[in-house]
Amino acid sequence: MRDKLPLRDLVSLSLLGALTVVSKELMAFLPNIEPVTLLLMCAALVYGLKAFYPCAIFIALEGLLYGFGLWFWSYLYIWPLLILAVWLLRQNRSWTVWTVFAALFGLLFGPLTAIPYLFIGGWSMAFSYWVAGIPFDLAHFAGNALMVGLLLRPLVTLLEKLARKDM
Amino acid sequence: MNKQTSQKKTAGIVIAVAAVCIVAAVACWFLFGPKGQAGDKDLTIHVTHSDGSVKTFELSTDAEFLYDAQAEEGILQGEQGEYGLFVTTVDGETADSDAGEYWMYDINGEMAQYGVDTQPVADGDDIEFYIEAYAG
Repeated sequence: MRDKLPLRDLVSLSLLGALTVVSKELMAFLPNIEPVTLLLMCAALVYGLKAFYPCAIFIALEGLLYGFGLWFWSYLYIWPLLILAVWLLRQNRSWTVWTVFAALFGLLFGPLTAIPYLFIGGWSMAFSYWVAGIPFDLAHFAGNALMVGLLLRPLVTLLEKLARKDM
Repeated sequence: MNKQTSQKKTAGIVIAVAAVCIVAAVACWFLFGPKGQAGDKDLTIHVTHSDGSVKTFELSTDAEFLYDAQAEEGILQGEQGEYGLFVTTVDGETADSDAGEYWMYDINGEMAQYGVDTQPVADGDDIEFYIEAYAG
């Protein structure tokens, strides 16, 4: 049977996708503090695998904004991977664990973006690309811990209300 | 296994993986990250301008990083950005950022991995600056 996407969810999920892009651009001046992990995690926690919709919107719009460079290929698997990981850990009810999870994802963002370089320049190029970015991965670790630690709970609560409200 | 033990197990795994990863990242940075070296160094910097002309600078320095090494000559100008110093002008020529241009550099024939302020220099290094454009 085909999974139906109710209009209400369709609207919320599309808006979440757009919100992810806009808030990322607004926060771009803060190095390695980004709302994308937070918002996609919220989407995955409230909507499960339907979070792939805002994720796809976000990736497509980023590609249109910045041009489809090498980084774009890493976006194609990194963000869906985040949603899949949240979905696999969905039994978890501890906000602390989600915070640690998000921080870990920030730390792994660098090595994950290094994967395309494996195909261009082999292990040595991918490795030096990763090492050069370690300070930024550490900042990403801290930034994600901060964003998700402070905002995941209120945002998920809010989204759940929106998702369930009868109208 | 009841739900609570399963949750505690997940929590334990996530926290343990995070701890291992952060230790590994910090260790790799100190082991394999850029390291400056003290002492006298002779460097050659070639600048290929957009009109095709090449200018060569021979430097003698005891600075550890590229930006400091050329500071006296003032070959590089830039602005502090998210990822360290972002070079905008080399030997008086400013890359046209509106046209998607930016300055790149190779060090001993290989594309540089670091910004000029974190790029270590070694005696005999051959550095080449050139303009590239986004293919977006």
